[in-house]
Amino acid sequence: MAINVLVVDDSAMARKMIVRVLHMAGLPLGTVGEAGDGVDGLAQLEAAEHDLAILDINMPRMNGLDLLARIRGVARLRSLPVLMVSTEGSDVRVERVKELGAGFLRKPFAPEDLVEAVVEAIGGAS
Amino acid sequence: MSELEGVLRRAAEQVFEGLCFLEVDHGAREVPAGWDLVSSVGFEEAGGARRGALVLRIHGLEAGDLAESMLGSEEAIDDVLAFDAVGEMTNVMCGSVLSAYMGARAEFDLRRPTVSRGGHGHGCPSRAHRRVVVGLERGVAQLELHVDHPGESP
Repeated sequence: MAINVLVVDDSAMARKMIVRVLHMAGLPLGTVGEAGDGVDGLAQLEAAEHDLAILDINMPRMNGLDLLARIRGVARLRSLPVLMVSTEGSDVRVERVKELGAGFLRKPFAPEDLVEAVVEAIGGAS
Repeated sequence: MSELEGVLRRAAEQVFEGLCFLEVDHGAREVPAGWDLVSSVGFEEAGGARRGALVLRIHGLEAGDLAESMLGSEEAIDDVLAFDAVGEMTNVMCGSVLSAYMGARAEFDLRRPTVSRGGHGHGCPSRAHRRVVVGLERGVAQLELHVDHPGESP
């Protein structure tokens, strides 16, 4: 089964690095979309089927935590596997991410850590 | 070296070596007269108790060099992406430094990085709270933490 992924991060370089690791890991990828903020990310998630969303926290217009809460409020997206990848990893915010049913990975990460977190996020949803 | 200087040095090493694949030189380096790149990330603790900025200055490397080392040379890299790469590096360093300096329970918001070529200024009114200079394979970097309301002396 091909995995359709959406990467939401306001840094184009961060998005490119995540996409590059996903391709190099040999995961069975389908479409890999990108969004630069939470508003665009939510629109893309509502418009098409995805199997995984990878979100940054600090973003303009709608941050990753607000986007995650919005995702959980949409019936079709409620069980979408989500992985938060952020430099901002206070205990309080990580707890909030986990309460909302998402995984968390701190930047900077090793490529193998990202792959492991992605596999865990997808596996945990099946 | 103070504890905070150690935190700054570890954050610089983590990003230069882990993200850019550039070896950090632990030997003493002279601070250059000018800088080729200046990048800054402003931050504010939830509730506004502490705010400030992390400033990264680089001499001897261009933004494109750093972006290429992060992505690999097969990618087309324009100025916008190159500056974004330097901003992302600073952003990651800032997250690491604040977690270590403010503690794991502290919540803070990071502003969008600003990156410019050359100069001495960085738009942050306070003097540097702590700074470290690290040598790179090609060039020198300085990392500074500015805290406007530090609350305690590190």
